[in-house]
Amino acid sequence: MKTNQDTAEPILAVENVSKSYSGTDEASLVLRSVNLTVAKSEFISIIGPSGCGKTTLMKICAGLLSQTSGVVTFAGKAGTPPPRKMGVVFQSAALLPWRTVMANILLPATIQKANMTKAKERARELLDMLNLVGVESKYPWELSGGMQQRVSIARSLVLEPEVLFMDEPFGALDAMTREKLNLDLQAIHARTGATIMFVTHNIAEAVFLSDRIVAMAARPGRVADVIDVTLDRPRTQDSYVDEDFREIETRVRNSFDRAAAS
Amino acid sequence: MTTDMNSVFNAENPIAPPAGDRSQTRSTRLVNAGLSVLLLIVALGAVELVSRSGLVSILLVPPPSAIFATLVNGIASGIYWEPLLNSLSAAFGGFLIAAVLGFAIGGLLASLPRLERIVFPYVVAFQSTPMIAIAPLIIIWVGFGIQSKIVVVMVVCFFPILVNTLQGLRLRDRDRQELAVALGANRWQVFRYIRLPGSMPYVFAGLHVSAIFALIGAIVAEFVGARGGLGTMMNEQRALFNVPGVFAILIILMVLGLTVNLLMKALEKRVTFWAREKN
Repeated sequence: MKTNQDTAEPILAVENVSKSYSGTDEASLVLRSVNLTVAKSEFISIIGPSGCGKTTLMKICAGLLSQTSGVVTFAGKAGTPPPRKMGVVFQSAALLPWRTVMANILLPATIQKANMTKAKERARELLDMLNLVGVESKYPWELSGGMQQRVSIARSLVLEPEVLFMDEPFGALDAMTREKLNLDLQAIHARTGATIMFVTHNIAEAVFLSDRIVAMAARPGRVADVIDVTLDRPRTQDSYVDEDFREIETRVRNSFDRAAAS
Repeated sequence: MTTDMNSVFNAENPIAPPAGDRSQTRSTRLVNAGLSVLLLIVALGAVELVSRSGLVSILLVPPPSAIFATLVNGIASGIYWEPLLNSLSAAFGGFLIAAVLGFAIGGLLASLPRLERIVFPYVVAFQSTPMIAIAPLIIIWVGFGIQSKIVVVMVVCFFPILVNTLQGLRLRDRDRQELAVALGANRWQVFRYIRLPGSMPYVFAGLHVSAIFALIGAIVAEFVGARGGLGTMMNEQRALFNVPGVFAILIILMVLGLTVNLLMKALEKRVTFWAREKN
């Protein structure tokens, strides 16, 4: 199950990517020469304090923002993944309130003019996988925040993407809902084999979910450390109190302190 | 000052509606409805008394009972139907044309931002002008038939629909825009699946206002010369000094206005059901 990024084929690569919104001097850099390789089916988390450019980096990889310099490569070719091969989950569920849950999940298929019969079949599977059975004909505003984010995840998976980008998707949820969704996300990752790039500022969440954690530092935004998470899968609620788990958490935390001190 | 404002608008300190169980609010509502009816009865009774007491001329202030009798007689003899239909078809026709034009031009301007910037000052200027004041001119240009009424209604209804459509389509929700990019939606798809449905609450608010304006437009056009319809009939009654007759038509107009209002509300609720529930 565990993918080794040295041997596995890279699906996404970031080379020397910098981003600035104004000048080119150090201080105005949001990202400074970031290098990163993501292996196929890998779960990679990007973690860091606010303002370290973690969301910016994810959005550049997803083609939602353009970099100032550097190259993003997807499946060996320069450029970001085509919409058909990627899914994005945002901080807010960003569901369309006039569409039912089912219609929201099918939106990517509608826009990509995909085979609707197949998409509907897939949507039913996802409803099942994400504990959404019975709410498919409800409207988003009839659901709780956690349920809305589940719908948003289902929407991102309906076209069976190769890469899934997630931008602090559980940031607005309460701790219990968050842990439940982390468990579900782990199961989805195992089942679909999708490559997942997950942005968070929660260390425990990153350790729980990831194969690898990219710790970033701010001003300028840069990679401070990359930490392998060698814990066995599937991880459970008990993993949080596991000694190895704690040790990796500490390593991630220390990498921030080191970056802040330098 | 700032701290005072903060304490008033603080989220932790909301101005909560008075707590109370449901049955109590329901009974309060019933009492309020009863009081509304009572108010009407008292007001009508007072006018009836004043009118019958001879304090004012019965010719100027007819007793409500006489107005009611006139209205019932008029309905029974069928004299209202033709003018009613005439005014209504003018109002409806003009409204429909304004809705189609307002929506289409609103959509066009929203998709051509440069053109919008060029013409927007004039849109604002026209919207700030009481368009009803143009009615006499339109009668001169178009004549005394139903066509001139339709044009007046159209002119009155057009700008609220245009401005609201424009406002609704101009809404930019950052999350939805990013979603559209992530899904690889083209311009037409963004319009069709995101901006157009998102604009509906605004469009329908514009239609609602305009539907009321349509009635006003038709009646005013008749006041200033267009022939046929309830406005013309009202003018005739006034010329004959038949004050109960004038009041009877006023009541018909009131009922019409209320009906249009209710219909539009129901339609609005049906189409934009998601808007009031959201958040």
